[in-house]
Amino acid sequence: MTLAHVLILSALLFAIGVYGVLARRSLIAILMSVELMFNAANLNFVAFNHFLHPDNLWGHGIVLLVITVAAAEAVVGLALVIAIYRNTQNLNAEDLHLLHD
Amino acid sequence: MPFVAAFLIPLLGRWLPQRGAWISLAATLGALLMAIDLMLRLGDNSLHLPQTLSLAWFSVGIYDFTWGFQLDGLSLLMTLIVSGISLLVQIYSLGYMPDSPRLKHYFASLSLFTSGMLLVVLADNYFQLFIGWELMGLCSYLLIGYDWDREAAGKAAVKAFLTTRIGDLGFYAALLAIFLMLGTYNFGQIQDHLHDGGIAPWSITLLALLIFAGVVGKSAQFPLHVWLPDAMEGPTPVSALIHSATMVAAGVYLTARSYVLFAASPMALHVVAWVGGGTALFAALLGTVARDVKRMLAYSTISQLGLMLLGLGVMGYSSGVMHMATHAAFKALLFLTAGSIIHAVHTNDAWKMGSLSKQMVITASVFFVGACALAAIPPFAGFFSKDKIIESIYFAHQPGLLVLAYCVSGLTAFYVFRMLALIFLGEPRERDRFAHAHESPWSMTIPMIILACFAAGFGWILNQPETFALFFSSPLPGATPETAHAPLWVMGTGIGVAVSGMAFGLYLYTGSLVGVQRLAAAFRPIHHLLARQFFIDELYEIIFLRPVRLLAVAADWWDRQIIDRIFVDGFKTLADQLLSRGTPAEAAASSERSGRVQSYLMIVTMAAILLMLWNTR
Repeated sequence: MTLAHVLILSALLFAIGVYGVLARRSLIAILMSVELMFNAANLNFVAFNHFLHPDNLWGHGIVLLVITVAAAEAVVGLALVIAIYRNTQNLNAEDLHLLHD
Repeated sequence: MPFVAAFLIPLLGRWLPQRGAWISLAATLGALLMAIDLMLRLGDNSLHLPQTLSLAWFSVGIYDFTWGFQLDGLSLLMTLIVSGISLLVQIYSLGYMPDSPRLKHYFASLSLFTSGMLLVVLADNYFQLFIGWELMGLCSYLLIGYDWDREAAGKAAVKAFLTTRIGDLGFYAALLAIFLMLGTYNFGQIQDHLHDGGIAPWSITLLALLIFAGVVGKSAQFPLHVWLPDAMEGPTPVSALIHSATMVAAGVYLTARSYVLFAASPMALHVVAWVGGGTALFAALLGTVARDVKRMLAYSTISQLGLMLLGLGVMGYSSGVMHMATHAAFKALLFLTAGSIIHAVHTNDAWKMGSLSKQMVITASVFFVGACALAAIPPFAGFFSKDKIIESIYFAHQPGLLVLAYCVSGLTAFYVFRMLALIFLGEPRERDRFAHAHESPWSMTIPMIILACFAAGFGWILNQPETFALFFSSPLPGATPETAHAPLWVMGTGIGVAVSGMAFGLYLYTGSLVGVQRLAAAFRPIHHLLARQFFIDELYEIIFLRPVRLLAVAADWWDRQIIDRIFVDGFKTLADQLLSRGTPAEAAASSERSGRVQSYLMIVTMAAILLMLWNTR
């Protein structure tokens, strides 16, 4: 296994995540896809840390930070989802077009 | 170390509000017991002061921040006061507002507040103190605006927060300056630095003044005093705890803690003394025409705080601190009594009360005790501390301030006994209220009685040599003439002024009140000026609030008319033309202009990919 293998894997994961964000209809599925993108990026960091600079732990440290931030963001996202559900009883992204003027 | 846990417990209490008040009570009781235990240990010499505990917290570059606690006479005293009064107030609250809808929030905020105050008094460095300081500011906001359905309460809460914020700006600047000039936040290290010398006098003065700015905000001195009278919108137990005994005393505590800085700068001391004294007089004048009993107490608090600062400002460290302690006792007592009265007659307005002493004996008696303490009638608590302050002024050879202090004393006695007469003596002014009034339940009266005992005896206790040395030893190496005795006339005049104020107040306001009304009519312009608080609120409105609102309106206009029109609408029409979408109505149906976030994201993602591909060329 080389660096390239892992990078391709994380790129694939990221792509799947992007697809999920753009094409899924359920809001929760969209949130999950966002998390997937986060994890793809984390995998990248760890890969670089392991293959290129095994002597220090900066990559892992950054990953910890990203996980924390992702958790916070998930909280906010879920709060929004709950608010939307309470107001519209509907979690279909296609039906949410309030940004339209 | 036990006192570390003492601070933690109230903080934890905040997170479990659904069990109601008991957790909060238990936490505060725990803190109090620990403080008492510490004090007893000091008594039989198994523990020595000062004690510190420091834990490394985080470091930024060249400086290591520590999370530390420091216990010395001052902080022990404050801890006892804070936890004791907090406990009593919480017990009282159970009787005062048992059916309030948001009781959990209330006790949670009270606990949080207690933990903030404990953090302030136990901190061993300025940074930590500031954290506790801000925490208390937050809780003050939460608690004043507790009835958030009432507009007046919400506005008062915002006003309190913003006004103290202004002072906090000064404190924040002080924090920065301290670090730049002294290189450390730790109190002990700062003291050492100052001893070694080499700090320019002007910088010490600057530091002291900036810290004092924070004090002015938090302790409601002129010109940042405007929030305290309005803060009376909060529930009365809150006023008892926060706005009489603890939070507003945090400013005085800060001054005492920073005494090494102030003592090294005569100019700063001067500022402190005169601002304190001036505010004291100003507030006492306002208190004489108050209708609302809580408002009178608010002005009284401002005034007494001014006296404390005055004492500190004339190098009377122990007098200022002692007055803070006794004031905590009797002012909290007075506020709780006020709550008891309000609970009974459902109004704050003293002109609607009268002759309540017949209906509420306990309340009346404890109010009397509190009033005597406030008016500094011997042998009640306030007398010892206020007399000490007057003696300090005398020793500092400041005749102007001495006269000021006497005036304030007289006015203080006058307004508190005026209120006593209006509420408890004379003829009932509104028969229905009078008939309905009843004594308060035990949960309210017992804390009041306990506080009354303190209000009566605390001064004497604190004046005893052992306790005095324990709590009030000055942090300065040189000894100030604390133990010297001023000539008897100093004390005598003080007593005389107080007693005459009391007599005058009682005389004017008992019996028929025709005399008072004629007096008010004769001095109508002055009366009006006082009743409207010298129009300061209106002044602030014109100077500060209106321009800001105008600015906001102007900015909004600019944003809507100019920027929105040109840029947003312009681009919209541009995009329409380029993509030949025809009328906006048709365009809305197309997917690019739908309101769906996913469509927007799709466009963004494709653009990003295109950019990346472009860059790899």
